Amino acid sequence: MDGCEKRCAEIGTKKFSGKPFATIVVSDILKKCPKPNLKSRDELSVEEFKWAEKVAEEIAKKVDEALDCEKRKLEVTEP
Amino acid sequence: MTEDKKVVVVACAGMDKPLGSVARDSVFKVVEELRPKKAELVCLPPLLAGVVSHSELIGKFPVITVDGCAERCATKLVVKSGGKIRGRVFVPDSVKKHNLVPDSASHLGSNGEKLAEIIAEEIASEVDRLLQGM
Repeated sequence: MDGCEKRCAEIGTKKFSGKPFATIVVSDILKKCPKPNLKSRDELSVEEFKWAEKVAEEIAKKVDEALDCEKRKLEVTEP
Repeated sequence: MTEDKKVVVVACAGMDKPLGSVARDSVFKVVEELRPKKAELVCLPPLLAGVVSHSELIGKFPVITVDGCAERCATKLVVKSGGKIRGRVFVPDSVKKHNLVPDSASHLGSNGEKLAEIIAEEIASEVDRLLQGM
């Protein structure tokens, strides 16, 4: 989960752990937002919370995809 | 405040730790409310990823680190990245000192909020002290 185009979480994960299954960049998702007007880092507005929910939905989708992928791998390897 | 006089604050990035959230909440208060032009926030992940602009900032200005647990990742990463640490906050000590325990990582609760405010005030005082010496 990266907040901006620097993708530090992705870079750090590749550097110290492995290739991430997926990377979600919040700033990319917010490009779909008509007027992103983020003012505070910890005091989100009602509108911003709605966008956080959208980001959470994107994460949930990727979780499902990752679990399906693992399941398929197991099915292939099982005799 | 001129561009060449400021203090950098670096906080714990532990997303799963309530005291990490207190650390982040306190530095947000410092850079957004208490000392907006005097203190600058540097995120921990860019230091890990080697983003040059962030490493340069901590090399150029005095740094205050705020650690959420005994791993002290903020302090260690600033040192590794060549930063000059001039102030340190260890949130577990603040919990003991003020007897205020946050509810969870995502919901600090009133005690966690109060603790973050107290730490933010302490950091702001430290920022002032460091700027006076520059």
